Amino acid sequence: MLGVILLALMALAALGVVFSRDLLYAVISLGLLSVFTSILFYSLGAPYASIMELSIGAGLITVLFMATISLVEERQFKGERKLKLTYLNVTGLLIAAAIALFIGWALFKGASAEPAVISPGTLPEILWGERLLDVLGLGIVIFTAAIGIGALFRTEGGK
Amino acid sequence: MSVLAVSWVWAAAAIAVIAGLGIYCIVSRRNMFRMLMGFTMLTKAVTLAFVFGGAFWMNPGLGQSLAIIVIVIEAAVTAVGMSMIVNIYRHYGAVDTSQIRRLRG
Repeated sequence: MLGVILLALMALAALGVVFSRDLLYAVISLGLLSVFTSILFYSLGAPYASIMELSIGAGLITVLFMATISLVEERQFKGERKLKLTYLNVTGLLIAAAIALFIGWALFKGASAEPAVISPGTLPEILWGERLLDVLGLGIVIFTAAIGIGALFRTEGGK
Repeated sequence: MSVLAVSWVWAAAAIAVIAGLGIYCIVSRRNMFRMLMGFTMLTKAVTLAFVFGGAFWMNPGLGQSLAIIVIVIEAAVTAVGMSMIVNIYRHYGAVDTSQIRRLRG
């Protein structure tokens, strides 16, 4: 029952991200979504993923969003206060509904399929054993992201 | 399945709703911050699917390891996306994609 309530709260927070008028409320909703996700992860027996989600999803990303929004003038967000029934919105809603239905159907069907034969192991065994290449790739992604941010904020001649 | 005993139907429905809202946010909103939030929601749905899959098939270690990888990549992509938005704002003075006319083909 608690799990269903958490899932419903997550769906509500996701609705808040999309349909809230103020951008800061949307960021707070996104943080709440991360908090609910991390609670659910912990109760599903995934404490490491829960901690990562709470620290990165609810902490780092929320702070990053707030800091970046504060760099942009508020008048930039005036135009999107009201959600109008435009061609773009209706088309987007139809596309999103179709994809969501497909994802739901695929997940529902996938549950009845036979799982791949992978021997269960603890997180360190999997992360440093089977998924070592992924972890190395992760290091490269973080390094590339750091270089990318540095390149984007590069100033010419120290200006 | 778990302490909470969430059935797979509810989990699939929640994942589909969050992913659908993320896709809707990316496709139909014109503010770049909202688009990035949509991407973040989409990755959250993926993470949730991994952890639920791990719990469902009694292999939480694998689901967790994949979820951790997705969370870290999400943070890296969000950070780069933010810096791109700030740069675009400095360049064009707008964060609304409909106002960035020089990008039109």
